[in-house]
Order: sequence, then C-alpha cells, then structure tokens
Amino acid sequence: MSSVKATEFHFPLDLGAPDGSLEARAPPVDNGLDVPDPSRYYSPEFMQREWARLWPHVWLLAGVASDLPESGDFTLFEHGHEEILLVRQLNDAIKAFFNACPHRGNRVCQVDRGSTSSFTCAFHSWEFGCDGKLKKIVDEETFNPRLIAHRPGLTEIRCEVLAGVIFVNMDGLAPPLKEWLGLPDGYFESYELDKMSVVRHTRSEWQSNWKTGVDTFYESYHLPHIHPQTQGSIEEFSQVDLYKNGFSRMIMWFGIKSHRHIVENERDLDIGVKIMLKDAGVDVDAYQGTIADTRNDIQKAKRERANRLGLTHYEKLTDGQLSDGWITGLFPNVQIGMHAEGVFIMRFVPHATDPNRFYYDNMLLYRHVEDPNYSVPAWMAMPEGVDTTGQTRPPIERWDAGVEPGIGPVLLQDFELVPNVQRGLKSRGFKGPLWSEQEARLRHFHREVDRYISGEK
Amino acid sequence: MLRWASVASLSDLPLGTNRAFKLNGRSILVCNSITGVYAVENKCTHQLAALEGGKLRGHFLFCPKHGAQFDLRTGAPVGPLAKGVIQTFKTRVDKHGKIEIELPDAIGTDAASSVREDEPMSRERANKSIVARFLEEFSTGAVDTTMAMMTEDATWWVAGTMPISGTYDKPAFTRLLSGVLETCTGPIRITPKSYVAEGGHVAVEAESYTQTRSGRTYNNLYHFLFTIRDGKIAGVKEYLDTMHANTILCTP
Repeated sequence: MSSVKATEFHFPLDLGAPDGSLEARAPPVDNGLDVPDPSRYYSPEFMQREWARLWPHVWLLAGVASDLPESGDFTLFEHGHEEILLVRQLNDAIKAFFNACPHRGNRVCQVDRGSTSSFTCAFHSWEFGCDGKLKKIVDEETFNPRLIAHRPGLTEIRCEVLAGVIFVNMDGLAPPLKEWLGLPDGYFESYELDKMSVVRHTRSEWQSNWKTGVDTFYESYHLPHIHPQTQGSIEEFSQVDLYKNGFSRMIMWFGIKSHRHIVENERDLDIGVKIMLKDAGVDVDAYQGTIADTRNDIQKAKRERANRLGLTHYEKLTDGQLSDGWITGLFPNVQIGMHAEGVFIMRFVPHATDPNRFYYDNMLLYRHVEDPNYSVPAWMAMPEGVDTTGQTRPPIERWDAGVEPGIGPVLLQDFELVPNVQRGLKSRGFKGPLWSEQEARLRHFHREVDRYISGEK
Repeated sequence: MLRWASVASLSDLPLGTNRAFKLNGRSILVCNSITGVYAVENKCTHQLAALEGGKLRGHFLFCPKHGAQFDLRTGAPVGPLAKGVIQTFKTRVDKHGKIEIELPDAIGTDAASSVREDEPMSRERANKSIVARFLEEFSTGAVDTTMAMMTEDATWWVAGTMPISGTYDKPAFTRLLSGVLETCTGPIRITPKSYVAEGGHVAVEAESYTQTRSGRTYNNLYHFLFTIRDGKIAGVKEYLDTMHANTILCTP
C-alpha cells in the first residue's frame, strides 16, 4: 500500500526540518488582509513611483561573476531604460557604471558582453578605461577647458558580489548587500552558484506588468490548473517561507505526484517522474518502486552518484535539496529556482515605458560534471547539442514581441496566461487580489513594495 | 591558384595575441588563440576600425573600439552591432613554426611562398607537447608541480569497478595520487608510446613502471584521453588493465 495518502498532506506544508536548518519553516509573518488597489499593476503613475522610489533604492541582480572570468571582461545589464556596464578590473574586483557617455549621453557599450582594454563611444570616439576614467577626448582643444576640467568619466554605481552573483544599487544608499539580503545565513552560498556557468540565457517580452509576472511565479497554487501535465510529478502544496526585507522561498516537492492527483495503480509512474528518475541515473525499466517511493529514490540515487563521482559539493545539500526545487524570491524582481545540478535565475525586468509589458529574463546556470551519466536534467528543457561545459558563454536568445518564445511548454503556459490576467486586472469589476495562504509570498512581496512606494524605506 | 604567404613565426605571436600584416596593400590580422591560428581582414564592419589589438576568446575576436564580436572561423558577426561578415583566410603553421596564410589570387604579394605540404600544426601539436611535459612531470613523483599543470576544475576518471575507479576532482585526485605514491618506493614513471591529437583532445598510449613497498612491480598499459584547455590539462580519462592495478595497488 502506498505510504503517500492524500490525508497526509495538508496546508501549510511543513517539512519538519530543525530550526536553524536552511530547510526549516520560517516563522509566520502577519502581513494583514488589506487588498491592494489593482492600479499598481497598470497605472503609469505607479510605474513612475517605482522608478523614483523603488528601483534606485534596492539591490538589483545585475549578472553573474562567471560571465566575467578575466580582467577587461564586461557585460551589460539592462533594467527598464537604465543600462549598467559591469567590468572586471585588473585587481579582479567588478565595477559598475551607467552606460551613458558623459559627453552627449550615447550608450558607450552597445553589445551584451565582451572583453576590452577600453571603451570608445561610437558617437565622437571619447574613450574610457575599464575603470570608467576618461582616457581621451577627441579634439579636446575645441572644448572650453572649464567645461571638462572635471575629466568626465563614466558614472560609477555601487556594486557588490555575493556567492558569484553581482548586484548593483543605483542611488548608493542601500544597506550593505549582506544586510539587505533577507535570506538566512549561508542559504545563498549553499548552492555554490560561483561554481556554475550560464549555459542558456533567454529574454522574452511578456504582455503584463512585471509584478503580474512575479505573482505568477511566486505561488504553486496554479500548477494543477495552468500546468496540469505536472500533476504526476510535482506536489503543488509547497512549504512557504517568508523572510525579512520581502524575501521568501517555497519548497516544491519534485519527483512525486500531487496529493490531489489520482492514480489507480501505484506502479503506474508518470512520464515526468520517469524523466526525473532517469536524470538521477536510475534504470527506469528495471525500477521496482511505487508512486510513493519515487522522490526518496531520486534522492538516494543522486546521493549515491555524488559519492561515486566524489562530488563534494553535494555534502552541503540536504536530501530534500537533491529532489526538490527551492524556489527563492529575491526582492524585488528575482526568483531563483534552486536545484542541486543547477539553478534558474529569473528576472522580471520592467519595461522602459509601458507598465503593461516586462521582459522575462531566464539564465540557466549549470555546474559541469565530467561524467557520461551526469548531465543537465532533461526537465530543465535544455536544447540538444548545446555546450554545457561552461566553456562557451551562449548569447542571449531574444524573440520579437508577439513571437512565441522557445522557452519550453511549461513556461509557455505562463507566457500565454499573463496577458489575460493583465487585462482582467484593469476591469471595473475587479477589486484587487484576494490572496490565499498558498499565495502568502505575494502579499509579503507587495507589502514590501508598498514600504518603498510610501517612502517608509 | 592559391598561394601560401609566410607572415611570421609563431614564437613572435604569443598565445592570446594578434598582429596585423600588410600583404599587397591589404591589412590582414593574424590571431594566435587557444583554439588555433586564424587570419581575417583587419577591418571591423561596424565603424571600419582596425581589429588589431582586440581581445581573443577562443575562436571569437572582439573589436577593440566598440566591442563588435566576430567568429574567426567564419568571419560572421555575433550580436546586433556589426552587420557585415569579415573576410577570413586559411592558415597553417609549418614545421619551423612559421605561420602561413592562404591567399586568393586577388591578393598578390611578394611575400607569398610556394605551396608546402607540411603537417598543419598548431593547436594539436601544442597540445601534444603539453601532455608530454605533463607526463614527464608526473614521472618525477612531484605531486604539487604535476597538479599545477591541471586546471582548477580538472577531473580525472579511472576506468573500471576497482575501489579506486571513478571520477575525481582535482583535490580528490591529488589525495589519491599522494596515497598511491606513499605505497611505492619511488615515482610512477609513465612512458608515452604514441600520441593522437584532435581539437582539444590528445589520446596517448603509455606504459607505467614502479615498485611497491611490499616488493611488487607495478607495470601497467594505458590509453589516456586528455582534454586540454588554456594550456592546461582539464580532464583525463584513464583506461588501464584494472585487474593488474587492483592486484598490485589495491590489495594489501
């Protein structure tokens, strides 16, 4: 008889991990029951307030350090109308600059990434060092010396790196990154993102506000309805953890059927579960387990494989981390799907001018292991034939607005959902979102947004 | 009719650098990158700047002016900045280390020499010599200097189902090697018998010899597959007689 009965599942799900463990359920936070006005999702005024009070004050996830392995390497971070140039310095530090020439404002860097010893503006060939300092003004004698006495260089902005991830703060007034980051100590570091490389990077334009996008990815309540094909392989009752400063996490059980999904024969494994078993190195044809065993067996198989291959970084991960997704929200606009083999860094990037559009930016980071039985898990929807060793940094894949992006069937379901939500939000008949406790992360996130918009933070 | 023009010595063009040469009025950029020696037209198709001095990353070149990126194998631009393709030329390195460029008839040059049928060297030959140096170092028994020739993320895979079979990362293999050497009276000498190289890989047939403290002789035959990256060993797959290894090294 199956040991997983529907009655064993109840909400809130608590994995029962001891306090102090990274898996432990965070103490509840009372965010009240106020229903926010839906205009926050579409009004240009709210968007302007975000630009004045939210975006400049927070730390934004700007990139990953493995994209800048050598001094002179640079990459461009785009956020709304702002562009930030991230450059690896000679002393190995990473500096960040606004990508605007101090002469006439032209974008000094017009490529996604590269390596250089200086930046030359394409307009009048003003030249800047990798440290942002002015190197050359063409025909300098034709400028009044008083106008350029301050030797205008690129404007530097605050930049900090944590666990291989680069953050920037535009107004320079945010608390130190470590203090601001709301996750428990060691959480962010435990997955060793600094040892991973970007193996796929997609950016698609979605027809909704960026917060509509965050909301969609911040709960698993919608899984059985928008993604019914996941019912056989993912439990949608997640452990929901609210952390300080608007951060949050949900733990989603992978490799096991949903509690509400009815299977008549306990040996009748879902295709998604089979894929996850195979990803873990289990011979699916010879597998004897039932639907109740799969998640545990995936954990066991991955643990054994890690021991066999001498993968010491697995020693830091709990059994749960080997099977489950630790879906981690970094305030304001980042969610990282954390898995033992690799992570998805998703950024909900606001559009420069239109509150009804955002860019869904998704970087798949993978830690290469040289073994024929170890690869990017199939469910991560990595296209065939792509170099996953980390030696080639793939270019960003972009799609024109209105073109269906190649982001895999599950994400496409969300892509198709959000324009309908965005339109309905504007109806006179809609009075504001009514969030369940499964959606507690959304309330937590919006309350924190309000602290910035109101000027409290 | 194609001609090969000899332009420079490989030794004058350090790895990771490039230099422009004038050939009958045309400026051609020769790049010595970890993935090979390339020659392209020295003119960016974005704003016509010289590409000389641009940084190399594998088979990609970045224009030093505005960062336009080109694939040196095809001349194709990468990304939206440059639209046009730059012309590419075939290259080879003769046995004296001279870089030669294949010139189409349209480019005449006094420097062009007659066609030679030499082995096209370059990356493969360089990789073989890296492996040869590595095996020499390994054979001295000096673990630290041997491991220094491997990349930080290097892996070493040992075939079979012995207790010591499996994949090791650099620290783990360092421990294994040190442990094995402690049971021996001297270094494990590895003598390469033959090499085959392609792309970033070098395959080596080899034979080892050492004496263990318990008085046994370890004398194995191998087929190694090395992966080379940035002039270092990034991966090793070791195929060997596992029964012999198990008997001599793993059995008390």
